[in-house]
Amino acid sequence: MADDMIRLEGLCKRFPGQHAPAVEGLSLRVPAGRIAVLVGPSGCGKTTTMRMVNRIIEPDTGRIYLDGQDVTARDADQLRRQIGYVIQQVGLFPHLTVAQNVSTVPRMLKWDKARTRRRVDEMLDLMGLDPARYRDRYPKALSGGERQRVGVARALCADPPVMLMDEPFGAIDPINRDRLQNEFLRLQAELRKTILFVTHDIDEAIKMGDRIAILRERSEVVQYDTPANILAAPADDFVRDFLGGRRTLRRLGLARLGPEELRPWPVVDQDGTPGAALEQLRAADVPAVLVADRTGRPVRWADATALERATSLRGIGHAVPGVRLHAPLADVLDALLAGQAPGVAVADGDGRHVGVVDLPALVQAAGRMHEPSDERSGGRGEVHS
Amino acid sequence: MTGPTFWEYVQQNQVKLWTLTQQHLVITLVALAVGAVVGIALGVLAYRVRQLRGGIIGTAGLILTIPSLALYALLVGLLGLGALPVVVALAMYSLLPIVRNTVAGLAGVSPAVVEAAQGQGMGSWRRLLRIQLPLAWPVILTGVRVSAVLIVGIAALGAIVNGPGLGVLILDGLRRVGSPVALNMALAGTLGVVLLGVALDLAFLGLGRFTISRGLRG
Repeated sequence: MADDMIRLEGLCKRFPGQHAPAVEGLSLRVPAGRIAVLVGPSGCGKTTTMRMVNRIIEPDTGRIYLDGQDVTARDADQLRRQIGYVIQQVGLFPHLTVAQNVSTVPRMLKWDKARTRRRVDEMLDLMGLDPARYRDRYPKALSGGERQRVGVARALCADPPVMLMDEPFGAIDPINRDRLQNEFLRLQAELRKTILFVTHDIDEAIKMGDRIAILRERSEVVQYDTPANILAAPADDFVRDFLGGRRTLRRLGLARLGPEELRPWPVVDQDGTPGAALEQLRAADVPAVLVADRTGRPVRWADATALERATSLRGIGHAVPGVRLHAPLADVLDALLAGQAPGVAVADGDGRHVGVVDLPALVQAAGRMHEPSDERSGGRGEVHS
Repeated sequence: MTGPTFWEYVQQNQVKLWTLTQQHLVITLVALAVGAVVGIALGVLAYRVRQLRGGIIGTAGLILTIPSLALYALLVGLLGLGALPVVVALAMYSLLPIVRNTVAGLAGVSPAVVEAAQGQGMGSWRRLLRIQLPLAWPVILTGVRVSAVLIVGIAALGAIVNGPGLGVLILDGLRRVGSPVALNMALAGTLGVVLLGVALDLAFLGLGRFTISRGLRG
């Protein structure tokens, strides 16, 4: 397919002195603008595979195509300047400032100084690092998370179409890792790089990947599909074991709340009377009604008992849990359980109330996840919560 | 008869002492420069080609075991009398600390940093000059500093092959043992060498402040 930015065909690598090949006949295609994650147990050859793409490890046989061009025999240094490279240890140059680190590739490509400086500031901005504060710092004065951001900025600086990322968030503490992952996904929604991402953490693979290649020894691809499809239909016991338990619950983190899950729900104005509200509740045959504030936004849940006792609708019942349309179903479930309410109020992108999702609707939505889909629902363009 | 005191001797011979000190410094620095260039090159070679490492470091160590008197004598046969054999001998003596520290410095560079450089598309020479050597520089500079102090002393012996420097005073003093000035001469020469050694040591410490990246300093 012409849309494949990265195409690997029959890559083999055997290291001298080793009996078994590290990679044996690997073929893989990554569509342009997507993140493909190579995931597998340690020693399965995933890092070796990734390093063959920028030829830090030269394959024994097989071909590498980038954007349709065979780059297997191209000058390796020229090739690498067009491929962003991020590794777990980051490997910032400690004797150079942040700006000098980030501008590594542009300086080799002989960009003029003004352009390079502008680009460096733009990159630091993009990574959430104030250029005025960070430009002239040395790596030793940065936190782990800041170093990793600078590492990503360095890889992106010359705007390469392809990025290779080897456990880029592996050395970061869990809280910051989660933040960096989210930031990177937001960034990727704009940049649309083609990314080969290596991890041993299946949860990271599910979160980051548009597609996941599950590898076993010698970099054999056991299954290559979207995270949702892999969770829905593991190819064999190896994949099932590797995925571990709670597959359905994890899939709820991938599936998105669509408009078809919403049901209309009676909403009463907070300035109305409890009696009228009670009538609406009975007419609609629901356990509770929503009470809206002056802007029409539902703020409280009121059930029949509360309505019968109340003299005013203001401050009645319980607070309404809310989610946005296209939120992960896991978030919807969480709001539903935490709010102890019959449903969760759903708002659209502009914050307007569009309907309610209740437990039966959620169960129905979860049921629909079992049909494999071509792409993950909701897509990557969405900015999540 | 009593000769002049040491202090009187120094005052009377100010100009001569100053000239000899300058010569001593120059010959040491010239030899050190040659030793540093050759030593760093050999160090890089030893680091890159594992099979040569033992041989190169072993040879540099072997040179240090040759008595300086013998080495001067051998070099005179090849290069004649004067400053040249002294410079060559001193450069040879300076090799071991420089080679060793170059290898150690390069080996101490984080492999992740080197891999990152390679991954950004830096070729092996660019990697060496822009990344590895600057990162190894604090260790290499320490080697050069050790060599400086080492050869400033050996340089004094250069006087026996007509080399310049403070050794001339010491040798003259030896020749005139028994005369009143003999002790003063030897003492002035020795003291000069010691002071020069201390000064060089401090100078190289200072050089580190200018040539080591702020990012590498503590």
